[in-house]
Amino acid sequence: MPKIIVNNKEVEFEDGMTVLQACELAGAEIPRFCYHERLSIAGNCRMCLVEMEKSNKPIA
Amino acid sequence: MSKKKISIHQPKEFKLNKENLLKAENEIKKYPKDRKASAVMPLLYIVQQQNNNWIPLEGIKYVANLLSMPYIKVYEVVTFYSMFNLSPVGNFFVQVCTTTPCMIRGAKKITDVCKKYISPNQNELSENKTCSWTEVECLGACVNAPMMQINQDYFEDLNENSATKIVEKLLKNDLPKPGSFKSRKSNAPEKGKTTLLEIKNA
Amino acid sequence: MRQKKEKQHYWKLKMLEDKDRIFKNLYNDLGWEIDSAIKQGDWIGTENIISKGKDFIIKEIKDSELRGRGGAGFPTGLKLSFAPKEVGSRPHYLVINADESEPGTCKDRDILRFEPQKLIEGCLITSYAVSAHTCYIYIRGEYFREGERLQKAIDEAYKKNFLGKNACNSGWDLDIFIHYGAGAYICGEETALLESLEGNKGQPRLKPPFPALVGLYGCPTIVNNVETIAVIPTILRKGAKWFASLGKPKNTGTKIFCISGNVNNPCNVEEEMGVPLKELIEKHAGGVVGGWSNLQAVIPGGSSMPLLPKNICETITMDFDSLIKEKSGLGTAGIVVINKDQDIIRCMARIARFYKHESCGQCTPCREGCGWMWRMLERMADGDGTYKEIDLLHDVTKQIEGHTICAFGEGSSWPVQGLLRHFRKEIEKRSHGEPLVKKRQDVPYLIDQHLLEKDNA
Repeated sequence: MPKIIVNNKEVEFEDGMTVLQACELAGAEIPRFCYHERLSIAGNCRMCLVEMEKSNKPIA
Repeated sequence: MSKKKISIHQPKEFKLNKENLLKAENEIKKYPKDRKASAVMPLLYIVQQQNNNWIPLEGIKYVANLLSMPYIKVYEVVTFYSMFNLSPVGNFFVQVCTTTPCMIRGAKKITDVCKKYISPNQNELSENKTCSWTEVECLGACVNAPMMQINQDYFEDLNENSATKIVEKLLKNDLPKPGSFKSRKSNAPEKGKTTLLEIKNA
Repeated sequence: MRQKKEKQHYWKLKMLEDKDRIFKNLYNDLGWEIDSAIKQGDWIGTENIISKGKDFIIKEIKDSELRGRGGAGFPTGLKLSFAPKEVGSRPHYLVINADESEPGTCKDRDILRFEPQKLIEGCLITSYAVSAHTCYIYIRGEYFREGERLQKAIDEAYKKNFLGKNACNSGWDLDIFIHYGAGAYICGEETALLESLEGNKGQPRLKPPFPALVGLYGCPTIVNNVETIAVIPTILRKGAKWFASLGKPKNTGTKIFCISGNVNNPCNVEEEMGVPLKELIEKHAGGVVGGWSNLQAVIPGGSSMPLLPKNICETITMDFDSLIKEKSGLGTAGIVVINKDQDIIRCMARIARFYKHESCGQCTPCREGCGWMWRMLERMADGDGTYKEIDLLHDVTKQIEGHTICAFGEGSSWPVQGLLRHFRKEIEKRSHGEPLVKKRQDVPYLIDQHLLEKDNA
């Protein structure tokens, strides 16, 4: 199972999970307005932007 | 996003005539067979052309039926783009570019001419119902500023006098010749070319 | 001999001679019909070029270091190599972006009107390189006459068997179709263009996935600007080394510059990359109205790029890298010259209004932010701004930039940042220290323009 480090805490997650779900496993709650499990991903509201180490822009 | 008002007076039904129906079918053939929705923009242009440069609500329903698309999808497209007119604009629709390159060369004088001769407000028909005017965003002819577009043609390199002459002609239901109004050859510098000097005029 | 030539470049850029220019018919001296185009050198040797193979073509374009002419300056050879090598279950498409709505830019119009055969030949060669049998040219709706001219040129090419089945005797089939836009600047963005072609509202998609893998109808698509594709046949005929010898390293070749605004002779010229800005304005456009000392600011690359004040304009050269160092950018090379007779804040407020009007409305920072910036700039131009508002304006631009789905956010916030960086004193002169909310005054700063019209609320 691949791993990811969120807020200096390492967490294992399943393939195909979104960054949002992986961060929730680490206990970091990310605010969002346009996401629902049963709808397709919109990415419009831009509330869920997080910084990732390899990209210079925050990602949704 | 565009300020659009749907006309109160709408025709009760709308159908494309034979010639335009053939044009429409040719447009649909350009795209893959299971992707007829791509033809929505060309078809709306054909509807607009047939109906004196504006689209009635019945026209939107007709296009939706022809392409087997939900009505709301076609309505979305019509209100998203600024070139689809939803209320009558007269025989001549004057669009004046007022974005920064034209603005600093005096586009305000052109709009003042329109306000004086055509109608004091945008998107309002003139008294004899032949034309209306509106301010639009950059029309892509910035080196020929200030300029305006009437129906499909560009009238460039204007000043107050030439704009007044054009508008007076329009009010008499007559369209002047398009192009530059300063004896200039398309985009070459006015006082003569500085590059491609070896190539003589054709 | 070649070393000597390179040395000359670094200390004095040699004058671009007419024989090195690509677009010889820029002013329509020689006619746009296919026969005149063939006399000028188009469609000669196309069969040979195609027979050399896809890998050769892509390698030549990579060697010439051609960068995209649509505003972003992405290396074209790299972009073409992103297309999958093998055609799978989904057909490949090539889409040409002729949606030129950037204020200050009018170069594609001349290519469509006067040099259409260069574009068509470029489409054929590029489609062969990315294995596409269908090409769509998306022209903005206002360019109706230019589109008619291009359609006539395409029909002439079909008649001479340069397009269609076994195009130009090369063994490759190609069909080109024109699709008209309808007045939306956002459709110049590649994913918004693909959405518009599919028949939806032109709202950009999230990237990744990139159009080279998932594009039009979900199939691999390559999107390029008109000028980029139109120079490809000449590069392949004259060789990548010739193209790379013009301009500066990593900013090679020639470019059509559109000089507009307060100059004596606004015009389009084709010059090599790296030409000094002062030379362009003085030599080709007849100088600034009122003399060089009357210059206030120059917008170098269409309205999305921050402006440059007079002291930088004295020595800056027009290429991608030098302008990025000065915190601006080359963009589409639409130069707008503003002199001291104009109100610079009013100009920027008009640009902010343009971005507010053209925003697609999909994501919050751009939709709300553009309107907010416009209202603040209008207040500042009228003299109603406060000192705190200037810092607030800078904060807003920082929140929009980088946080949007597409590059429109950067395009709308960079000009305002440029104004604040170089003309802050001018704004401060007109502002005062009073608080925003004045008691019992009708300051419409929270109400949007259209709600003032009561019947529209």
